[in-house]
Amino acid sequence: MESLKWWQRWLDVPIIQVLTRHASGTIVAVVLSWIVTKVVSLCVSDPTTLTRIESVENVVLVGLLVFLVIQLAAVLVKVFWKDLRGGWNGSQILAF
Amino acid sequence: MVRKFLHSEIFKVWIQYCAAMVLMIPAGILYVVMLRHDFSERISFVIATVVALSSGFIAWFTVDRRMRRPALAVVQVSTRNNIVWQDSVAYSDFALGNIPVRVSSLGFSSPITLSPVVLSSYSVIPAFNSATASA
Repeated sequence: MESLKWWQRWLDVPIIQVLTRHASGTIVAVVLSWIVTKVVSLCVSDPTTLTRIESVENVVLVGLLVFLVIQLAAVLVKVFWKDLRGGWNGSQILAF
Repeated sequence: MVRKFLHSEIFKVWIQYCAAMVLMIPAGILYVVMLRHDFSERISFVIATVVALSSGFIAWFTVDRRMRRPALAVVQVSTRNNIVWQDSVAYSDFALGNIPVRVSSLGFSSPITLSPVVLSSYSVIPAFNSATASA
């Protein structure tokens, strides 16, 4: 059997897969939000409106980051709660 | 490869986060409106963030409902030399508890359970990978 590289072994760990999904999803959404803000800003010249657009972006960015933290906490609680109840084996989740 | 990605769990999560981001924009607008009506900056930000989070969760579960479909994993139960039993199992990533599967072949019948963690390792949809379990 072909031996896997260290990062391939890490990517095979289910909990790492879940965390990667959430982290990459947040990065995609943040980048998309930044692009939309920049495009809209290019079409606006009024400084007051620009400030308002930045305020909207700030709320969206903070919202996304808090959303990510809540999601990750939920994932970890779900995994370890199941682990405590004996449903999932900790070694299945964390080891490879 | 593109089709495989479009059906993957990671794509679904990306869409969920993007939908959450879009639904958070009205909360940002609410923040600006509150500032214009002389609300305190801190209170406005807290209220806007709470509204943004609520909108995010609405987007998250709406997209989840729309995109959820049962994945299929082919499960093989094998001895050292040959495959004794093979079947497909429909499951959801959100399934709680183990998935009961009854093995019935070659004159014996035995219930086994497969952990969703084990199965979710094979969550490509349609996942015609084989998960090997020992009876």
